[in-house]
Amino acid sequence: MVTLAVGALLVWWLQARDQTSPDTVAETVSTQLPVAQETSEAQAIATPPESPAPVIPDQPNLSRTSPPPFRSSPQQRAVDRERLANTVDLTEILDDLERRARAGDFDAHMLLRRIRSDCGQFAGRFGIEGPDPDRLERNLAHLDPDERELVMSSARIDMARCGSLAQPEEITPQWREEARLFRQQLASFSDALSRFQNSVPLPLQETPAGIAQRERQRIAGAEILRDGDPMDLVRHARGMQSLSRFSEAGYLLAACQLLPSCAGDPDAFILAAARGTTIANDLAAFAQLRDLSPRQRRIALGQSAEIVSHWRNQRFAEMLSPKPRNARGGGR
Amino acid sequence: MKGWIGLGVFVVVAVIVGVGVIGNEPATGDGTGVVRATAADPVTVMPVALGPAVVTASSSDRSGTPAEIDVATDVLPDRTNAEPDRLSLEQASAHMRQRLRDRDCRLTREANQPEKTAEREETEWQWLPAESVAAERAAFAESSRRMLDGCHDDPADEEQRRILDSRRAVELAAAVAAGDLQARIEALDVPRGAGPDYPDELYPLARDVFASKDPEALYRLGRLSDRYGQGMGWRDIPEPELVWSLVACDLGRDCGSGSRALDQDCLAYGGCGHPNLESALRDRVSPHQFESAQTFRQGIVEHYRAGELERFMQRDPRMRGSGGG
Repeated sequence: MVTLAVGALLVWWLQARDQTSPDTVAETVSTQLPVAQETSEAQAIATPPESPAPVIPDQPNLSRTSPPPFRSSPQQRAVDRERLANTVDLTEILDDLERRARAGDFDAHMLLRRIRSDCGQFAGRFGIEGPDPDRLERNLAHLDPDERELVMSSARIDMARCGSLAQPEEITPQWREEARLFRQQLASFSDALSRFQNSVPLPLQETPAGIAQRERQRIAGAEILRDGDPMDLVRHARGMQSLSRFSEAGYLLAACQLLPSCAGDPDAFILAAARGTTIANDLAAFAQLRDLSPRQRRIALGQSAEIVSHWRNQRFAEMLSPKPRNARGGGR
Repeated sequence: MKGWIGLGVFVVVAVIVGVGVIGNEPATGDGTGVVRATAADPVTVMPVALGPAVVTASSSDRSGTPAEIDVATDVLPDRTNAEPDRLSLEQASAHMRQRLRDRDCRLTREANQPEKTAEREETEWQWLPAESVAAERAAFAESSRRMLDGCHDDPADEEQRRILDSRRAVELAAAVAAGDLQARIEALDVPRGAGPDYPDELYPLARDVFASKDPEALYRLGRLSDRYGQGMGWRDIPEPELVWSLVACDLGRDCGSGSRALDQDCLAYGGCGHPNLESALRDRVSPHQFESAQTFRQGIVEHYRAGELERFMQRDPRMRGSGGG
């Protein structure tokens, strides 16, 4: 039984490594729910979820009766990140985040959602599909012992962290509905982070309104980078990639050069990131650099050199300059 | 042998029907080893799926020179209107060489389209050191020149293209019916959703490819993994396309400088200028992917040389039937 459980966990973990970050989840969800098709908030809230998936009763919920939402301070966000990075048993953190989310703390709500999302990927697979030893065997068979140990190491930590959740969550229509409400709220905030995160659904990106909005996102992104925290390059790499001519890997390698802990020995740093938790962990993004081919890495290094040059010369807007031919995102 | 051919005809018909090609009547085996493939209505016929961009001509066709038989005019003259075709194995092979040659031509033209060139510039070459970009440009141009040598343009007229596509579908069916290995692989090289997930033909086809010791067929068989996944039977082999590409080189496929295999790789994936295909592949996948592939590559080559390659074929229970073995 234990073997099966660990097996299922590893299956999940392997798949979860490819899952999108919350920023991208928001974008994905919003893509499914273009602004033009949004219903009124009241109507949306009144619509029951269509999925038979269980509703989580104690889940913080944004509704008309909730207090007015606000964004937590940058200092509070930093404290949350620090606590999350250094804690295995997340019980207290989850309680705190839920309390704050009920009080209207948008960032607490987002972080809670990220944890639930990351853990829910596993729980959903475990509960619905059951363990799949064949798949586990296939997924791990090609790994050399070091690589296999690395996978196991990360999975063990994730299992412990996710064990703090009383009830895991999977992506449900209700979850998507929340995302839609988040998007509406983001539009009402005026701070740089909110403006940057207020992404344009893919089908609307080439419309005049979409192009203008993406330009506003670039300006907001430059404002964020102006704070001078290289970790912003990590946290927002995927969002920036969608706006610029640089790839996510380019931003991550640039961040590595700017972070003393990475610059000294990038390979060791990246390996440690791959060995660590994937649950609500910004550093986990570095793990994907191990999957780059030598050619992709050379290209990303070329990009990172330019990004770092802009950073050092405080040309933050140029770190988000669009592709020359058109302003559509993507990157490599 | 008759059983194989009959099965091949069945699969081709199934595939054609599966992708929406409506023939007037199905191809039928007559028990003689020569099978009639029926041409379809050129107006309603859709082309048999072209499959992945990279497919090679026979390794014996390195020059790219069309076979001595002019397939377009001699083997299969303009018979798009329900004229049944019978091909000898030799004719079928000549047809397939030309078919794959045509595909190389299309691949090369696509890779040289202005938007593709601009994309390479923007996403790759502008970030790489100038000297390596210069080498890549030169290698790309050289590969394009080799691959376009002897190519003919497809008709510009849409109706003509449709007729040509329908004729290609009929030709392929005839080549399959004749038992040509490349044709049998080609017939299964259809997009996901077209045709069955686990065609009965897969397993016997793999056995025949192994028995043929044709490295080009082995390579193309490996590429079917992208379409059929574990249905191929490589249940323990990660990155099967990568592994089989390497194995095919080890077993005699020309993968060196100036080879068709390397030219195709360059035009399809970029990163031109490598001395051989292994070097190009090593540069295109992550180091741990390549190391994993290496492990399986060695094992497969050893078993292949010992005549034990079927060891790597673990039939998936979802693959029905015996497959005519």
